[in-house]
Amino acid sequence: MIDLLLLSVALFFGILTVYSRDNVYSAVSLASAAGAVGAYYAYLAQFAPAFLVFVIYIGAVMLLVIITAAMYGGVQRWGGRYFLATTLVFLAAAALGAFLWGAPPAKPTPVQLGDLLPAVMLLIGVAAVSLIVGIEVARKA
Amino acid sequence: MSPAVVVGFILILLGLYSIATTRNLVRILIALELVTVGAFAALAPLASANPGLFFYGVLILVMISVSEASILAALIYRTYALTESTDVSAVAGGREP
Repeated sequence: MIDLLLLSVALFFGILTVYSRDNVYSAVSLASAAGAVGAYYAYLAQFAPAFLVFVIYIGAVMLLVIITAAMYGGVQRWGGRYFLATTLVFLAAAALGAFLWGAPPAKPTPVQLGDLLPAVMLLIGVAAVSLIVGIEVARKA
Repeated sequence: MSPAVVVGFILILLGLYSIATTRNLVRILIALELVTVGAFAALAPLASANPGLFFYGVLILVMISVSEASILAALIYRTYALTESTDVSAVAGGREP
């Protein structure tokens, strides 16, 4: 359940990244989403990839993105609703995580090779959507 | 299908949507990084199947994101220096007539 909680937090901050109007809040939400994914890696006991995500990705790339967002765009308004929403989600996730930490761990399900086929189909779908988005952006620019 | 794959693809599609709907270069940089975060999440099920391949996948993804972020950041700085704007529309050179 903790894995679902971490993924839900990553999804929440990903949605917040797209729908925040200020560049800095958007960049901070993106860093939070990346942090949630890094925590998910750590939960899966993949400490070397979690280290890469936390130190290299968040420590270097996210820093660059946040600084760039602060230089060009910056904070235009006081994000009261943003802070309220993120604080509520953080508190709820922390409380739920502490509650689930005491629960007996579920047995992990092994990955079947057949699971890769839908992922490949989705990947092809994303590639098609990327192509369409690229063409539309090029036509608009 | 693993929940991590579903969340990853939702994040990738959100990033593509954001790229399609904005003209601000900073938002395009943020959206590209959101696509990378989605790819990180979608890669997670590989951890139990093949941890070695998973580690190298994450490593390659981090390297790709570092290079794309640095290139786009340089593009933003240069565009702002030339046009005093971060709007893609301000870049007229190289456009088809």
